[in-house]
Amino acid sequence: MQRSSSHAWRLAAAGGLLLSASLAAQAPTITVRDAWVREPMGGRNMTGAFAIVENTGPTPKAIVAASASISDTVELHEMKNEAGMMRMSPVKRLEVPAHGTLELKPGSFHVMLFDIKTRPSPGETVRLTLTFDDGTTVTTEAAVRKPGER
Amino acid sequence: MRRRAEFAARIIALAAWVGGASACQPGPAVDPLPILPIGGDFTLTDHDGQPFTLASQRGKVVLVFFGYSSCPDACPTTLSKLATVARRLGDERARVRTLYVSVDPERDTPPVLKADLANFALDAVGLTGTKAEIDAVVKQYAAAYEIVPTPESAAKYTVSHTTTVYAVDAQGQVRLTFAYEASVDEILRGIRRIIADTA
Repeated sequence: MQRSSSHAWRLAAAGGLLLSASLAAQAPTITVRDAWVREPMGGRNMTGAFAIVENTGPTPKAIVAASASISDTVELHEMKNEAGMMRMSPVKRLEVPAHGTLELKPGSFHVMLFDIKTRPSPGETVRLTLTFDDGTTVTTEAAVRKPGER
Repeated sequence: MRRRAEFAARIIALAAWVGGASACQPGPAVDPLPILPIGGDFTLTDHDGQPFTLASQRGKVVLVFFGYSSCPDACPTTLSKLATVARRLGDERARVRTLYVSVDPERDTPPVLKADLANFALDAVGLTGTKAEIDAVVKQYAAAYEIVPTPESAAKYTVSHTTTVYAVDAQGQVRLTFAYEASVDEILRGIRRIIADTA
């Protein structure tokens, strides 16, 4: 009995997934706004990229990769302040909850651009592409800002 | 064992002070700042390779913080912030000194520290030493750090570390600590309070 109900659930869930997949194909549920790249600080050839990622759909999504016009080495990172001790670590995915928002911001989850090819200056933009776990990508123009401006 | 108990007592005193400070802010009555049960004199090597003692800075407000040259985010953020603090101090700038203590002494040789600091409009002294010397200072200030290899990242390693800025008065005593999130205004207010306290 339990087995068949679990089977039914799985079917329903699969149906739901198919439905949301087809809906996703019609209307994108992910929007990326207010994207910005911090002007590299103190002679470093790396910097962070930030944005607000909103998921209007019923399915959780996750950023699994990112790319940028000024760097070939782009990673997803997390910065965490644990009782005054700052930890920075690479992560495999950044979760965007269903009907929710993920804010990529300094001191928190963010995108790291290493080995910057062209040093970006305020007033310029950097093309930033986020790849999600469902294979979709969102590309946006991220404004270059001075550290501490936001 | 006894040393550990003493250390724990210092941490509790510090926590009680931090808690109390946030509870009574802001208030018009300005009590003298307490002397925090951390800190103390030390000798390290400066970014020119010369011995440097905290005791040599008596008469100045000294801002001490820990970091490392390849730090991607927290350290340059703090250095940039302290550069803004220095600029806004104006004439009082000569009464304040920033010390940047490396927690990555193996890579942060004096020339590496010097080159890093050259990127900031801040008259800071970069300090390094042997691991044992650095560890002793870290312990004095109840700070911490940990070198974390990250082979999966282009960063190769990161150093998790305390990002607190410790404000030492003209007599070498820690009077205030600024959290990583502290604003330029908060740091300026704190420095001016210490200067006023010890005037």
